[in-house]
Amino acid sequence: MHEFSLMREVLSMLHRSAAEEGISRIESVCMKVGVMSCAFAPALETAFEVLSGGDPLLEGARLQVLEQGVVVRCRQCWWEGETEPYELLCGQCGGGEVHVIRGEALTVDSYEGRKCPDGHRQTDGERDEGQ
Amino acid sequence: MVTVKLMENVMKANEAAAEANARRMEEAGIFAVDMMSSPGSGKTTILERTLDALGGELRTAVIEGDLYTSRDAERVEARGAQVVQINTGGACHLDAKVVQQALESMDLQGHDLLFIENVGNLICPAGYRLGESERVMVLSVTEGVDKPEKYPAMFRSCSVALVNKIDLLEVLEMDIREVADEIRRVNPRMKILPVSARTGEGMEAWYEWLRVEVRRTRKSAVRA
Repeated sequence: MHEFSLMREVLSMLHRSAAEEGISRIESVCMKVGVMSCAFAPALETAFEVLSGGDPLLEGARLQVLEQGVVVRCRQCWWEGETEPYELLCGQCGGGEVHVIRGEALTVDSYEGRKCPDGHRQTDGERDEGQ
Repeated sequence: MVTVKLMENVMKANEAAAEANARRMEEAGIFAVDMMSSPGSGKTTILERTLDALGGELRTAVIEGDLYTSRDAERVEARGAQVVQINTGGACHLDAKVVQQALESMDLQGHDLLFIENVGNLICPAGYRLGESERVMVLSVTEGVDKPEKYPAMFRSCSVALVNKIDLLEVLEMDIREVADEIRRVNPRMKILPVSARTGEGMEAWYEWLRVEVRRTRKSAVRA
């Protein structure tokens, strides 16, 4: 898939959240990637490395990608459990009528960072005005 | 050091736009179909045939998605449909935001049916909801039988598969049942319609499915 455009969205989310939290430097980011999310973890790592370069908030931050396996609920016998990606069969009755409850999502789970000394993170506008 | 628990879906912005598009379609009583496939499977030809067959009874609009050119939009416009061409200039899929912009530029008053012909690609479009009522994919018999297993996300995300170019089955020495079995292995609920957009074979079942869905959508809009 196109991990660069996904990662741009991730960086926007991190910038927005850091501004709200008064965080000036992010040290590490944790993402959860469902194995059926169509995003490829190594490509996400490359995109993060490239796009965070030169970003005062994110440069040098570590990205941790946690893969999430597939969990389904059977529509026929209500069994819930893990299955192989795309071999979506109920582990109890063997039926194929399942609802996927985990394994398709791509989320920014959490991040660690340092707050600004005065609790206020400069916006780009303030930085440009030399405040 | 501070830990911030974000738990945010990366696709959140797209999903919000898709939700807005879906609501707009529901309120207008329009049945919206996202048509996806690999390049060259016959999506546009299927649309041309469909517009010819149903143009008199269902008011239809089309959003065309391609990296470049307006060739598909021109073909569809020649069939009498209101059409908007989105050129992504490189993006390998349509997303809900560009579809939202296209919808805003269209007059959908009194329309029954909207087709969104997605960029030809069996991978990325599956990950981006556009606000459609249903997803339909087109698989050409010339693509062989292994595509469902190779691209399961696409096949799982659609409710209808038009298996196109069945006029070539004999030349290809292919059994349509093998294709259907492969599709059902990945998506047991897929409605499979073997068609030939070129000869018209099998297309009536597709038209009938559209008529039923349009009627159902109209009823829900009236009730709401």
